[in-house]
Amino acid sequence: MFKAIIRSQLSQLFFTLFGRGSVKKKKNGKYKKTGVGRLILFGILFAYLAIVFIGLSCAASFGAAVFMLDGSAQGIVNYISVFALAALVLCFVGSVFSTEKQLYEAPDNERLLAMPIPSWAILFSRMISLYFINFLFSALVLVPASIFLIIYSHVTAPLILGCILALLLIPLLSLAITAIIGALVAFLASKLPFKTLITTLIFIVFFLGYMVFAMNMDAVMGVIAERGAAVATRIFIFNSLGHFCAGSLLDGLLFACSCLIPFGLVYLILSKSFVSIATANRGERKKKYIAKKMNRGSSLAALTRKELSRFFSMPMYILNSSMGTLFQIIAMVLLIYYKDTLLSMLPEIEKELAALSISFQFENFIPILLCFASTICVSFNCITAPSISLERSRIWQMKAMPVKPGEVLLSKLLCHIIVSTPFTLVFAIVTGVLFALTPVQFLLLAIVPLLINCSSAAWGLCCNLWLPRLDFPADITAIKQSGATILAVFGGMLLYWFPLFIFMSISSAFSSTILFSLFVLFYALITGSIFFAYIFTGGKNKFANKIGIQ
Amino acid sequence: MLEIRNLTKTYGNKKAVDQLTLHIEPGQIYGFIGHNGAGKTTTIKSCCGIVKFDEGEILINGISIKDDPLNAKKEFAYIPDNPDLYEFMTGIQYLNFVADIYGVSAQDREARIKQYADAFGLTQNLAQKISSYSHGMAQKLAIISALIHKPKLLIMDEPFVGLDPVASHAVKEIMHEMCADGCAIFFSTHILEVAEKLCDHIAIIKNGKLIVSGPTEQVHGDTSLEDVFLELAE
Repeated sequence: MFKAIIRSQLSQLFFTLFGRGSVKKKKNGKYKKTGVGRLILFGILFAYLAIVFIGLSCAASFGAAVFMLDGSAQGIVNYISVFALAALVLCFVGSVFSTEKQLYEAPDNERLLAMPIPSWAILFSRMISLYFINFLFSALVLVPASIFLIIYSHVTAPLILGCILALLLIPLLSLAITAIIGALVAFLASKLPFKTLITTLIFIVFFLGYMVFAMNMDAVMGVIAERGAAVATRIFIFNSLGHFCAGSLLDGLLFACSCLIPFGLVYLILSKSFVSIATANRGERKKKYIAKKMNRGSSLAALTRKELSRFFSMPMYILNSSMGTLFQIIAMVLLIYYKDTLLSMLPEIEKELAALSISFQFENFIPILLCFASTICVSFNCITAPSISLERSRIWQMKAMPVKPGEVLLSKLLCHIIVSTPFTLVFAIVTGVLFALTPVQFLLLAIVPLLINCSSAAWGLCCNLWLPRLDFPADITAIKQSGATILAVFGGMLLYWFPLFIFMSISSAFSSTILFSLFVLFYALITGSIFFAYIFTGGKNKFANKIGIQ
Repeated sequence: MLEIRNLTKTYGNKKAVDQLTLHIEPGQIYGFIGHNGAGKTTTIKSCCGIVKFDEGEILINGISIKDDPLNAKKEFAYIPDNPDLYEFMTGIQYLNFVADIYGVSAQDREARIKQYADAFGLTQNLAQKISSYSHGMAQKLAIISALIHKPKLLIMDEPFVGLDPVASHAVKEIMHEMCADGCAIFFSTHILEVAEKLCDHIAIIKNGKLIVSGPTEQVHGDTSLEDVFLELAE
């Protein structure tokens, strides 16, 4: 029984990541297996991400090892403490959002509770898959760190054991912390009104905190290098780990207890209250229905309202798919605060570009930079990419109702455009006033990113038309892990960033805002036309034939 | 009203529906019964355009579901056995959404929403998100959304599952009213007593093939429908 539920949890995790699509084609009496191409795509993507992140981790470990590991025991303590703290932070950031959903809102909780399975076993099976995710994050930091520790230190049994213990136990500590945070978020969300808004704001705060850290990485790394060891070693858990690696066996025991006891306590509390947590009514407060005057709308308006309603009802959809809009807001705020700093950097930039034989005109640089930034930001949005997959088992409504496939697709495009457009315009207005742009420059700053926005919306929808999987176990999986979303994001980078970078590297690019804007404008029109043409011809037919909305 | 001619649907090597022919006239309540996996849901979904069938023809009020799906779908409403609705919408938002799709005027939708929501006791829940609804409440909402545009044909898959007795009674009343107005109803059910009392015509399907169809009294004769069904199911 125990093995059965653990197996089901791990297979669900595996299916979520690697499961095949459900849209199959009948060919010569046999069903054509789809998903091989997607597996290859996933493989390339994972390899790319692994190389990048492992490379970064190795670089950080190597740098720290050279700096910190001076042969002394204190060097080892400082080194391992810093990386254990980093591993914990990464585990926390990487899993805090999914822990709450998986522990407290898993859709099969009630079904499992109705079976002869003790609640501690159900909880344990959930913890296993979460532990696996935390372990991966922990390994990303600690494996390279451990390797360089072994290379640059005298190898002892406690050193090796300490590295292994850190790898195995830091995820448990992270799991305990995220379980508590998740319970707090779930509790607050159930008690407070405007649940979606509050959950979204909480996640935005986390995200902004992460962005501030990432943007000040150099400064933070500097502080870590100078004082990180002092900070980390002040934290009892990491100090104990450090001393254990340096040879103190008692500290090893203390470290193990520091990880196992909190996890054990959290596990005990959760398993005792699991039934009430799993069956807690997280519904909204009851609203009184007051009949109002109703208006008749068009079919397209109704479909678009439905798309917008879905978008704004899911914090994860908002955060993951409109990341570009978030970046625009952040960029706008930063430009307001750092305007003078940016302007003071221009003479230096002029010198650098002159050295590369790129002629630079001051009055054109700012508008081009703003247009470039806004364009890059909007191309990040991928609201359309999971929009077909999000229909999931609800697709029967579209199939049974008299809706035109073209209208359904158009409504998804409109949702993306409606969400992204206001912030793009606000960005243009605010930065236009801030940097005193001319009317022509302002117009281009407004229009060009909007056209890229439309093109990007169409690109995302094309991706979902090519990869229209409808059998995701949950909406969040379709949003975060669908092949369509991944293709839209990374393909979008190639489509929109790469040509812009190429053009920017041409010397004449900085000589004229008009020239730059015209290039982006025409690029947006061409790409947008191609994608829109596909959507409303071949894409629409595929939508009608494969998905069955006719 | 609903004409199914030689309907055939195959999944892999298995024929889910095999040369099924059925004709439903206006004013009829047609019950569709069969064992689990007999092909009821496949037949119903084929009629609604949800499933593409391999052979045959389905005409709804003379309009082919294959050749002119858009106009055919305007003629009927479909209620599934498991109403997986847009749970991010409130009840009233969903009803307005459906009304917009079918082009129901503001005046008509206001009157019909009030009428049916009161009949099903769902009025006070219309401002709640569908995600907070029980299965029965979602089923009621699906029924109201189906009736909002006054369809000429109502196709239902196990409509009484999850409904309380008051709601079940209301559905039966509405079905009679619709048929009196010249509409037709085609529904599948496992509750043979309901089928026997409610339906004026019955069709029994077994392993994808139509075994018997006709007026209810003709189908069960002197015995009960249950006896006929059990005998045919062997």
